[in-house]
Amino acid sequence: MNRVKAKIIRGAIGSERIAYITTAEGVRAEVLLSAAQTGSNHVLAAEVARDKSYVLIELPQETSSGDWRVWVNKNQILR
Amino acid sequence: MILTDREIQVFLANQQIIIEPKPIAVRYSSTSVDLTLAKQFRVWDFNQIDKTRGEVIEPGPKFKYAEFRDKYTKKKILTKKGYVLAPDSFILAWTRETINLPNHSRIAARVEGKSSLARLGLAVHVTAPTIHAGFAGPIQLELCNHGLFSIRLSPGMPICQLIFEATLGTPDKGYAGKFLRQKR
Repeated sequence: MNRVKAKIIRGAIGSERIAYITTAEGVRAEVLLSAAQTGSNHVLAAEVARDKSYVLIELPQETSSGDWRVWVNKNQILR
Repeated sequence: MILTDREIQVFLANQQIIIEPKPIAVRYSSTSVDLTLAKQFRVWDFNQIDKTRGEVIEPGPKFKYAEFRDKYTKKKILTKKGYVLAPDSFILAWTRETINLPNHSRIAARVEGKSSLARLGLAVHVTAPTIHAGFAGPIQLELCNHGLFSIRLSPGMPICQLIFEATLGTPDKGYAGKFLRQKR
């Protein structure tokens, strides 16, 4: 499981978080998650594939635009 | 058992499942693959419906769906601008992808909605999600907007997801229903 850099804000209820992840295309993907799937600056996501500059990650939930998987820049993956 | 993304890709490589055009990497999730919206769709012809107001449909052996569809719907083509589906509207649409589940592959599938669209009130089928083993063709979608807002439908947008299930044995009889090799 990877920690992927994201902007995290509180959701409607205490255990809910909204995460914004910048994709490789520069689009901000929005995804509604439980607090357990996020940290203060990241979401937990599985790596599916990678190439030289990008990593394909699978999010724990579908984004508001309907994607489960998004390409992100390598530097979005926190060590 | 439900196929995971890896198994779906192995089945695709072995032509045990055929999807044309092949989905790109981001269209997969752990246990499904997204399909996209075709340009062709059908809307209800309210002029024709008004003329026959009061007609009762009697589904049964004598009912001819193709005739009914051709009488009461009009073919349309989605442009880049898309089509705005108003609340409480219902249209017939298609997946851009054609799928083929050869009998011997022992695979059936279910077409289901995507949560991002479901939250807006968009349903993609009306209680008929089963894709039988042996089915070949594009998948018809019964798009219904149960939500409060109009929804713009664009060609190529991810519209539904397909979940593949391995059957226990080889079916005696493959799907041979009237929607086999259905055309858009």
